[in-house]
Amino acid sequence: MKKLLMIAMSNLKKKRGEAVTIGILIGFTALLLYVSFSTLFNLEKVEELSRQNSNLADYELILPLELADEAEAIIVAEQDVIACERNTAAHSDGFKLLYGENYEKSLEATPDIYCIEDTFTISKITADYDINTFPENGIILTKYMEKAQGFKKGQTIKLELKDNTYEMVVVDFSEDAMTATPLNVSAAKYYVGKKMYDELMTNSDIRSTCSIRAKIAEDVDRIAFEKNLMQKLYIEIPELGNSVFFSLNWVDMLHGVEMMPRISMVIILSFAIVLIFITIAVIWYNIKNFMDENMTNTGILKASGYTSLELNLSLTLQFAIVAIIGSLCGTCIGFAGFKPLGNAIAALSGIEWRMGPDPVSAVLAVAITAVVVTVIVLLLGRKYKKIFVLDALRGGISTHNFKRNHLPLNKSKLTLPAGLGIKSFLFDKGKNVSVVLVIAFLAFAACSGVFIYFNFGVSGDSILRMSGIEMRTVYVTGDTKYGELDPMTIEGVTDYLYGNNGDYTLRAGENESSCNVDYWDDPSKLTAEELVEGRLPENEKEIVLAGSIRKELGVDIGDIVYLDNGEKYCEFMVVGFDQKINHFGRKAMITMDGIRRLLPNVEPAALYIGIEEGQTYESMRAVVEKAYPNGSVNNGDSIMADTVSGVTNVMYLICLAFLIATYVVVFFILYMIGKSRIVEEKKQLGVYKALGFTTGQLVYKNVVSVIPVVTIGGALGILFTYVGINPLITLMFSAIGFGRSHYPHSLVWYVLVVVLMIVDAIIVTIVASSKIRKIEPVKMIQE
Amino acid sequence: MSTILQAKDLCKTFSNGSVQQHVLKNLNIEIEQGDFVVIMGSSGSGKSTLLYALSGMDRPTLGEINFKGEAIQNYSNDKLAVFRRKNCGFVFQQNYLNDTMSILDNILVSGLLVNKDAKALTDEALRLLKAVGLDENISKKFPTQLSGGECQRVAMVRGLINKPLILFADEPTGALNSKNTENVLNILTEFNRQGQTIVMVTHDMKSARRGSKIAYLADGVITGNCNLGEYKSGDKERHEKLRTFLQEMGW
Repeated sequence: MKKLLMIAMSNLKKKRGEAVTIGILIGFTALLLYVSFSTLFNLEKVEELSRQNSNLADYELILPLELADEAEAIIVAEQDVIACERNTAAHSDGFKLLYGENYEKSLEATPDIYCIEDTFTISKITADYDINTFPENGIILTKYMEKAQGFKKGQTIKLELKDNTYEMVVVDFSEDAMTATPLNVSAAKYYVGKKMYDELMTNSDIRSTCSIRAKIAEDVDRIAFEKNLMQKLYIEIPELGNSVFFSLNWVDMLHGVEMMPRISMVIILSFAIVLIFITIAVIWYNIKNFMDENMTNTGILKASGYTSLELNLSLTLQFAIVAIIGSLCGTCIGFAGFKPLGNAIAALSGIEWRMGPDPVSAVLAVAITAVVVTVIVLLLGRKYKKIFVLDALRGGISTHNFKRNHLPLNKSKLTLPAGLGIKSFLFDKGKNVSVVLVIAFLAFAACSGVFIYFNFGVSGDSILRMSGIEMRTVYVTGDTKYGELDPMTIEGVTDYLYGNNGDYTLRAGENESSCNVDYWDDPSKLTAEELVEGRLPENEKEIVLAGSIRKELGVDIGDIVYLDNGEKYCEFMVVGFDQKINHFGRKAMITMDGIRRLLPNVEPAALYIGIEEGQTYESMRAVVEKAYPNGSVNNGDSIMADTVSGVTNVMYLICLAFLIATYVVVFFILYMIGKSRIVEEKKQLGVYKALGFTTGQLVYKNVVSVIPVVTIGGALGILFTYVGINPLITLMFSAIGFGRSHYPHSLVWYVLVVVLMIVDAIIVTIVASSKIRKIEPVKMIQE
Repeated sequence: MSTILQAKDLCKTFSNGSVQQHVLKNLNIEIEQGDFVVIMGSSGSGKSTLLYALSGMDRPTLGEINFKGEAIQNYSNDKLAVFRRKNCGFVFQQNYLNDTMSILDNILVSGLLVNKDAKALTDEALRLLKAVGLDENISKKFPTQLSGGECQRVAMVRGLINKPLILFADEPTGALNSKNTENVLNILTEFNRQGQTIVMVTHDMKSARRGSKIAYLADGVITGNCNLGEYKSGDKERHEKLRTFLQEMGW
């Protein structure tokens, strides 16, 4: 072992530059593995800590105040309920928050504003405040607003509602895991002082809602509890079907909290896997190079009695040392950066990351990288068996294929250095294949970053399509005058859509599933719909199911399912399947006429109005408000932008990180390759100099030999992205019923990414080739 | 005959920390057109250092090197590279052929630096290959498919492809067997007869016999010169003259 360690250490000293590059790659891989593992492993613990910290309700019903008494009575009567609490809140769909130093930032919001002096023993206020010194204009906002939207403690903000403006000071932020993010549920909880609460309640545009929160026995199935309760509520309170309400159980809402962190970590984990492939390709290149360069030494060692296995083990030891040091450094950085990482995850989940560094994830990240590297090197090192002593002592087994002289110089139209560069590229095909693969993986990672950015980071349209959240520029809630007023008669309106939704049970044979059902007056007008198979419902007896429900019910197109509200059920024929990630994919869609078979008096809760090009929400607001005097008119674009802003920001950062990481890795790898090529060709370069080549010509030759490698690798990377990214996304989200992903590509940007990689490669080759200047032909010849 | 290369008070010192090694000391030498100058001397006398200083591959520490009246010692590296490609040809002890290129490409890699006409260069390369006793078909082969002697002859063709004013040869037969040595020396002699100026470093008396002028180098200075005149095969008087000269020099 000691002798093998000696050989390994001696080789490491000789190959310091390469070792550092591979170490950095391994470190970066380990860091990403650590980040994704520690997040994925601890997410549930963090959720549980949050739940305990706030004594979170197991079940919460948010509904109009006028229905609260009856609902509370039903909930309290449930034998599984061990505690129940009720609070009234001020609610409007039309709040606009202005914040920032000069109120330059704005946020459309639909919060429930509670009085801080009320009692909250279930789903407690977790903010840091003193009830006795709470400022008259103080407000407690949600944790998500602090972590994802840039609100700050002590900041003065303005709460606008139509013509009224309330100036308030942010006291702190409270976290309620049940309503953690707007992507989860659009019911954020704010808390204000008594005086401010009373003032708000005098505003005629504000209505009262009520939150009824219950703790239920530990061993009770939360989902089943909600399903049974909803059946009773629908029966006892028929008006509920016609109202806007939220029925929330912790198990389902937990999926909502986890969704974006999980998606982000899957992306990071995918990048780490791509990096592992890149590291393998780099190690492959290095070992090939090392064996070629070290052939005589290998011969001497074999002649002295070293076996192929011992040489292989020393090589493995050499790379294992690099892998262990690199991965330890990477995970140490992850350990040190747990706070910013925690903040990033909090921005996605809306709950505080209450975990410190995670040793288990660290051990796992180090172990995976070290084991992968060791196994790969052991496999590659088997080549020692094919090296025979005499061949090695002669300088190496000839693996060159001399049957073809690529690009004969007498027939080449290229300049001499360019011709030599291309010849060098063609000759080194074996080694170039590994470099091309490295570049292809990197280009794939960078293009995927661009893909993610343009689809999920710029406008959030794809996130909305993924979520299935429908929206138009103008969004009316409350009295939408359904059947009374044709929205098309309003000047500037181009299209409209009425909708509502509710929680029901779907049955097919012996299978049943609770799901959230959307009902639309005309599903063909949907814009955020991702139909995977079949068609949209066209009449009152047709239904479209999301992927998860399809799996749970085990149905296909043409099958019959039963929609049950506890009191009554109706049959529907499945005509299509779509994909949605909200409600964890447990969604279904029918027509408004369809739901009226079950609930004859149901009315649309929202009207989505599309407007002419050139018109804006602001320009249309007055005319729409006039048409719907009892409705709440909101800016749909802003609501959607605010809903997805946290996610788009994180996606932007992920994309940026992918791009920077790609270019840095390209730089390091090509620098390593460039340097090792110069060492390899040092003598030949000296001869070229003696023959009269200038340094510039030799640098040009090297640059030319690198360009085809990067270009082919880059083109392959674009191809991988073009062909592979959508199926990869489908695979990543298949667990929540994704059956198809067809997000658009931005080919121009992919090409730009590769062009920048080529520029990066040229710069790094020139930098690495600067050593050519120092090559003295005399020394090369006299050596 | 006109002087094409002249070294005046040439000094070359190598430093290693505080230790200095004076390899060439105020050395003077003149090379005339058509000369076949052989530089001899014992190991470490500075023969190769002188050859590389004269050819612009290395810079002297002090002194002047004039090529056709122009001082070249202060040229930039790139200017020296251009000087070498236009005026000098090289044959080294090792052939330094690129294993990854065909024989023809190995020759053209030097030729195309000066002449862009690949067709004319190819014709010239094939002519030279024939002149050094190699078959035209060899041009498509790779160096590893040739013997050491054949490779050295290819290296000579590479050195001659640009019709250099001076061919510098640094122990060109040092790595060859006696038969190949004879072949290479015959070729050099033949090219010299056709007017090619040659400067050759050797410590082999058989090789030295081919030179028209012998300069003996000892301890960084030329301690003696011997003019042998044109080489004739079997010229015993010439052999004796050289032997006597070398004995006098302490060979």
